Amino acid sequence: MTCVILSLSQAALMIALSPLFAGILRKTKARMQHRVGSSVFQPYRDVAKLFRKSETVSKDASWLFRFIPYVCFGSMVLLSLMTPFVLADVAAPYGDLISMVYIFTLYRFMMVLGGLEGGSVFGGMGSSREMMMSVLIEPSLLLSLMALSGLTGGSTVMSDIPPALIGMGVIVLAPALVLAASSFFITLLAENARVPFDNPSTHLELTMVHEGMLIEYSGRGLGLMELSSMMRIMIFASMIGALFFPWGIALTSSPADLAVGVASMLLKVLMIMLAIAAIESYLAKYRLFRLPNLLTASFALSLLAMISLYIL
Amino acid sequence: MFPVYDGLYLSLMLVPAVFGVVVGAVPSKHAKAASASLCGWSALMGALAYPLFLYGGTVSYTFPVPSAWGPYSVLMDDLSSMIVSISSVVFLAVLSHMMRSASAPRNGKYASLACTLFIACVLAMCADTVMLLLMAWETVTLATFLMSLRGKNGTAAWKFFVIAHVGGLMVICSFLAMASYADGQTLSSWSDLSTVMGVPASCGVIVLLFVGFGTKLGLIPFHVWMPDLYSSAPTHTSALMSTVSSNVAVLVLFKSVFGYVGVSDEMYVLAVILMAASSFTAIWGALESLVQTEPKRILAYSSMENMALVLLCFSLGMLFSDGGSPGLITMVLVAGLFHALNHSVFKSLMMLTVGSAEDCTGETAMERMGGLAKLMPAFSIVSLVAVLSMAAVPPFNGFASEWLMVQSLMGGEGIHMTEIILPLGVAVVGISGMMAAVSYARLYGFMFLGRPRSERRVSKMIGASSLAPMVLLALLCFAMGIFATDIMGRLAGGIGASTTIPSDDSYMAHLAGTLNVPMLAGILLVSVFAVSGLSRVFRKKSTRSPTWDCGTPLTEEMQYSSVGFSQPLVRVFHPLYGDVMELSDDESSKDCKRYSIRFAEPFAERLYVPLSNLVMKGAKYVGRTQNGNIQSYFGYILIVLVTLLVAVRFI
Repeated sequence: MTCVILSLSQAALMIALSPLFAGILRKTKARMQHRVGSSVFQPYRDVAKLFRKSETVSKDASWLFRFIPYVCFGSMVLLSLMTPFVLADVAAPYGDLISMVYIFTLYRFMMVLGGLEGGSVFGGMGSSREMMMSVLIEPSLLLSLMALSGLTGGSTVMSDIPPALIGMGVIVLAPALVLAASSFFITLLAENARVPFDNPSTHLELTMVHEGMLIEYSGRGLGLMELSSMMRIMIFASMIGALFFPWGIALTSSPADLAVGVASMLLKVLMIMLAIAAIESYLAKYRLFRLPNLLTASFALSLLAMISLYIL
Repeated sequence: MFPVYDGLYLSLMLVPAVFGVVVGAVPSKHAKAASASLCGWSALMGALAYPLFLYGGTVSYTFPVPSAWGPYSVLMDDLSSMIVSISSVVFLAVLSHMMRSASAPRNGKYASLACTLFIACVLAMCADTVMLLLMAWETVTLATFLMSLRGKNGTAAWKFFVIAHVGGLMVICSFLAMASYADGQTLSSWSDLSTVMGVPASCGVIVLLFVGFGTKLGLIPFHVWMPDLYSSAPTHTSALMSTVSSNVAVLVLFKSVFGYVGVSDEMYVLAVILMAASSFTAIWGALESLVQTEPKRILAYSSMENMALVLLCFSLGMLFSDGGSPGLITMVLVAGLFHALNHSVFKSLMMLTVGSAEDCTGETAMERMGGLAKLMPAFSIVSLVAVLSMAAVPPFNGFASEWLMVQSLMGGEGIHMTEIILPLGVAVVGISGMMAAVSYARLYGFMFLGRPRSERRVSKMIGASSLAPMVLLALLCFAMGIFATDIMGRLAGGIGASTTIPSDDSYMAHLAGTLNVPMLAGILLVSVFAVSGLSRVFRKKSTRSPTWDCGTPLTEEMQYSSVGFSQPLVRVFHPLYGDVMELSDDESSKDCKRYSIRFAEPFAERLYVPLSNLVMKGAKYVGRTQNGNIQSYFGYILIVLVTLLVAVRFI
């Protein structure tokens, strides 16, 4: 029972903190570009404002369009319940690493269908580009997770991985883990529509991918979609923090462990956000047809991780 | 079961269908309805096969038919009864959709052929003697060929006929080879013939079986008939071909390779080759499905991709027999069979969807559909279920089998010599699965969403009688996803019973704890409906307005087109496509050139066209000898005579 309560509350914490980290990311970027930037709590205000506003739906959109934000949000809730955040032992025994990949597919699939709803060019273009990237992301995402599960003895259950990695000690910092983690980091950038894959701060430009799909949403629907995308980057970051570099995560539910877990996790997510902000400030968005090179590099990294797992 | 009841059950299932064959051929107005309902009764009985198996055990029966080739007997064991049940449900759904469908052929002969197909499929799945199996398999081919002939455009059907017979020949050869080593004709007594046959012979037989059944499943380069046939044949033929007859091929292939021949650990190289072939087929099918503009062609290529994943699982099963535990082999085979079953459910649903959409709009090109979801919400929900299961999205059935596939690939890691093969296998499943998902998103998005893409109005709405079978299949998609772990366990038991692989459910028991689809679906549904319920309670004003498009009026042509949608991926995988850029003068204006891009199937253009040219050239040379001159014919006789005499002298 405590386990259920703890894992529910860690999912709630994750959902509650995701706009904050989005705000930190934006603020850091602004500071790096010598701007003051908006407050770190601005995303909360944005989402709250969107929830209060009335909605305008395209005349061409069908029932599916109104339904999509809820499905996207629901799939992110599903994922945040199963991702270890503070406590390694999550009480959501309904899926593993592989089902996680497929739940991300559900999210993306729905978002792509939403992009096609409006009957305009922007949505279709965003959907089309998103699908191109997702085809190239999928193998490297699966392979980096496979390397992770191979490293810890073949289990794909999420809550088994942190104790196994911690139990292995320093040996675990083998090339396999580092390679798999760097491949996973590239997929994080691609999946979350960050620079160099996409520019999250543009609107109504031909470069946009993620925002293109969201262009027809307004009011509550847009709020849910924005919140889900903040949750998505949070889930990815905490996966790096909890699965690839799990040191500090609480293995038992004693208060001391939990306190260390919260502190270390927040630190890790913060570091990942800072890294993303640095990349976004120092790198320009790539041309669309240069992206396959980067994603192939990510695939090669994860394949190398698999190879090094057996050679070394 | 008691022998009397075995015969009773089989006659209740097969005799109405036999009557249906006869009734359908009667030239009467009611022939079609009568024949189809008889076949429906048979399919209903077929659906009971697995419940009856659970109640009474294996059904075995020898038909009281005198024959020169030994008895004709059937054996319906665990695995076959399960597959017969699912296939019968699919058959029933397709039949009941056919009854009221506008595009289905109206004459009774079509229904009569459907009856024939049903009988042949059931017999091929449960045949226990070689002759019955081969005859049933041939009948499946012939019935589907006749069902796909429509109008004057029979080229695609003939292409299928030729390729399927090349495959049929290979199947016959392999069974004859096996029969020469086995004692007796009874298939259930054949087991592990590879110990008698030796490795080279059994490898040869396995290759023949894979390629022979692979022609039906769309193995490269034998897939060229599929897109043409599926798009030109009546909807219900395509639906039955891609589902029920694929199930037959998968089941018989499975029983032959893993039961009759039996895999041994010396087949490592062969397994890798077969794995490469099926991986290539999977990726090829997914790639080609991205550029098709007709929904049925997309479905054809996606069938090819799905069946290639099933073949990939079978070849992995062979690979794992070299050092893998029985539990792992069972798991990968379960993944293959489960995927075949799931495919038959969601693909038949999607075929019926596409057929109905074509009936409603009168269009076959995706570019001219669009906006159907607003007109027919119920229909669009049902087809969304089909698309989501095809794209392997949780909690539907396609997800469960692909999950098991990836899981078994990851579980095999660490077995001798597979270190680099399995990661590539995972990459293949990942990339082909995702590409297929893209092409289904495209299919659904351009058929149902957006605004209508052509001037033509939807002439008629889909009726309840067409929708009911689709709802049945959609529920089955959902149920097979929810009860996935239970079905996997049952399949594992069936595999243990009908092959030489020792029954071992250690992996399956472990997996049952890893994946809990009911809970996953429950949490997803609860969170979706909780949030949407909350937003209903705190309702805000919602207005409808036209899509904003920078001030200019938005026309149909301004929507993103389906060709443009897949263009980024085409650019990335460019060297693999046989795309032809064409430049022609635009007739409407003088200074305009019209660029168009056409995708030709490279295998047809680079392999089959040269092959047929070669054959024609050879025929021309042979034709020269037939000059109609009696002297030269005497000369030929002389040459043959001398050659024979010389041959006889030296042998």
